[in-house]
Amino acid sequence: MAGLVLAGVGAGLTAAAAQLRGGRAAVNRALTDPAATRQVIAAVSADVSEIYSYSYTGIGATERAAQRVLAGQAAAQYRELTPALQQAVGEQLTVVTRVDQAGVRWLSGGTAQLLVFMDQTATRGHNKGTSVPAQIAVTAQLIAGRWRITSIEAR
Amino acid sequence: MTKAKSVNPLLAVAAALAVAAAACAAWFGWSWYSAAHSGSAAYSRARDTVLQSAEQAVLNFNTLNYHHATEGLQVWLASSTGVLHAQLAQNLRQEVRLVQQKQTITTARILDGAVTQLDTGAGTASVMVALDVTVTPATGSPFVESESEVGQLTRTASGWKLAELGYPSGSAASSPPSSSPGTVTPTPAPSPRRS
Repeated sequence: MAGLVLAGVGAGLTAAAAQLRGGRAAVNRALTDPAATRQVIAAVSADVSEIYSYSYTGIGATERAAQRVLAGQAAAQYRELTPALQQAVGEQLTVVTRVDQAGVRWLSGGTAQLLVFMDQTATRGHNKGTSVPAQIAVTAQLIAGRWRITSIEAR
Repeated sequence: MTKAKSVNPLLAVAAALAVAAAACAAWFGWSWYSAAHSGSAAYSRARDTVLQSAEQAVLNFNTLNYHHATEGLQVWLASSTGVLHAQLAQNLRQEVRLVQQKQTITTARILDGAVTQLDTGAGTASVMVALDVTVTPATGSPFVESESEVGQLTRTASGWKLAELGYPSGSAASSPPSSSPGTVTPTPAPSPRRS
């Protein structure tokens, strides 16, 4: 009898422990793994600045960066932007994007969700525009040891 | 010769099982305790609590109806601590008058957020929040603005509260300028800065 009770308590506690360890909060390694958090922030910030910056004098560089950095749905989305890049050439447009701040909302099993605040400054010909803030939610996946952006949503 | 003590084999098995069960229970208990009290589990929970508190506080600070200006600003007060709270408390009457004069209604919807720094020992955290703010002016139609806001939170006896709230440092609408450290004006819901 006592054995049964003890076994029952044991099973209950094991389930509770599993929930504590495997619960949503615990699975998420954002900030709890500072090195991994810093790494994905650095990678995604660099990539976002690169693919959102373009100059009419060399959109090829941006397109190549997009090919390297994006995967899946994000790659398809970016291809839809090609007409906009062509337009940039026509309008002598240069856009410089700087990531102001990025934070990790979710990090687990090779998938990360980030919130990215950035500033975009557009220059048309010789007229330098003011910087415009923009915010995006980015999903990145670790593919062959490299973080690649698989989804971008305007926020 | 004394008769050898005969042991009831059933009893022996039962005793052995009881010992095994007790050992298992102890192990399970310990594993539960260590999971519940491990630093990383507590830290993850704190991170999620901070984000939840921050999103609610930022939502509150971007919600104000001139019909209920005093009540609305009381919610701002309840969501804040430190300098932000003190400044707000000091200018409360003035703020209420301003909102009533402007006759604006501001509502907000949180889109996304992340904790960027968390020190559970010191009880401080930094967050970033993206939100849509809908402003209904006295005349004219409502308009929606996408906002990026950054905040500092401090742990108080009644939960995590906003100690600072502003725009990202590099932003054109950044507030306040970095030359005035320590004083952050609350994001004024009734008077949007970006048009």
